[in-house]
Amino acid sequence: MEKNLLDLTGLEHSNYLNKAIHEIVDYAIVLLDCDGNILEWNKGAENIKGYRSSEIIGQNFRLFYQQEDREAFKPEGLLLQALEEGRVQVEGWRVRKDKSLFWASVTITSFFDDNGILIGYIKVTRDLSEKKKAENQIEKLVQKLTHQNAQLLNFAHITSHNLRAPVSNINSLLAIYENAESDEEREELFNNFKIVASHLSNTLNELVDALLIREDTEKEREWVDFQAVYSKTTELLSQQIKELGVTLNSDFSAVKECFYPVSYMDSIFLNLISNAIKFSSPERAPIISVKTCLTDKGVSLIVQDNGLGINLERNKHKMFGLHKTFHRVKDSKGIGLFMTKSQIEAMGGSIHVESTENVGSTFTVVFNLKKE
Amino acid sequence: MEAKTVICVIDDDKMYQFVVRKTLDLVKKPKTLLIFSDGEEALDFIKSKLHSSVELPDIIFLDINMPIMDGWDFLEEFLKINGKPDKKITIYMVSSSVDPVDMQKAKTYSEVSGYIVKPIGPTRMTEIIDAIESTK
Repeated sequence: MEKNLLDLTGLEHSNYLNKAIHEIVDYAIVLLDCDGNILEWNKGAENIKGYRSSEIIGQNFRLFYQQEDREAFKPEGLLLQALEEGRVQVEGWRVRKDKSLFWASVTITSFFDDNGILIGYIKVTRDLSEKKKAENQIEKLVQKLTHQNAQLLNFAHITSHNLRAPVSNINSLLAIYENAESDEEREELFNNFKIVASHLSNTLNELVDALLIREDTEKEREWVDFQAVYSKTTELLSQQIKELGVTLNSDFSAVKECFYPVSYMDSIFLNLISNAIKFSSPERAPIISVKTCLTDKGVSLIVQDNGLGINLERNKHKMFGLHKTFHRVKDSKGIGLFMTKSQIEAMGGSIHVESTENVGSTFTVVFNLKKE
Repeated sequence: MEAKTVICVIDDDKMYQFVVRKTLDLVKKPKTLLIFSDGEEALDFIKSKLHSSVELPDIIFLDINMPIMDGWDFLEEFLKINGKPDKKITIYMVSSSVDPVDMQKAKTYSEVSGYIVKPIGPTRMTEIIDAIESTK
């Protein structure tokens, strides 16, 4: 059976409205006096803010603001705005009874008696935590997709160029072969075909490897000890280290280990340290330092050398490209950094370099170890 | 006697260098071929021959993608050379791929006469040499 509200008087309406407001659980609807002290508190307020009516009535709504907001007189400012403009609507962090924070949408409306004198305020608050969390996730996803898109474009660009070059050579050699006038010439050309075919094959393998790395984001992780990887690497490179008289410094006291695929870590250490050795300056004794540290971005690995350095102004955008080399050093194929960057990024991390020509370079790897 | 056209190829791809040599063998014109594997070497050569008109290139086929100093880097440095070289040097940007970005960039340099996709066959090569010689 239903009761028809149209049959009731205005006063009874008000009573029912009052009761109804009290029962709403999704919105905190609070009555404040002229100074912001709490007079009425509905179920939604209990739900969202965590206080029962009995313990909150009489207290000031400043309680729900973070310390920095209170010190800046933000609550008072909002009341003033509501007084002057009729209402104010904001979003911001608020504090629950258990001291946890939530992202709130707040509307404060001032109301007056018939003589235009302020009686108090009605404050309606909605908890937007879920919405904000979802928004943050979307933003992160968009960033990730944008980045991946850029990577794919870059990859497509690299592929198209690096594959076209040998193919173009094969076509040219074919044309020359057809015009060849002696067996010796044909033999020479045939040998060249073999060379180019192997270029093509190598490039394809490099690109496929890089592609596999990018796809393999589910790679198995385990606890990897930095000192152990470092020792393994320096042992592998011991001959060059001795020959060039390299001084090695290491410090893993800040972060001793991390949860990462071992093979990638091995590869990262090997690539960065062997590069530092390879590009050392003939003018001074090479000094390479390797250390880990913890920053707000996460665990970082820093490899610093005093070698040839790189002209970043000229080469910054080429730094981690395929086959990009900056020094006329033997055996400098330029795939190392490309691979290393692919591996690091596949695991959600990043790598960047700072360098000064003829002073040295510092490579910083940030590992993303947080589970998303 | 017809003057020799000095053709300069700046390209790090050794196989392509071989291809260019063979291609030019088929071009029956008096010519000298200079090959450099990177921009820096080419730049040093040009700087040393600024006033030796006979030895300077008439044409430069400039590969875009090279290690150490790529085609664009070379171009920038070349344009900065103090003292104009004694002869007009025609520059073509060369690449094995058709990259719209690079093609557009080539247009922004008035000193660049065009963008060529490798390989350059003997016929095209002959046409280019003829064009250069006729403007001399």
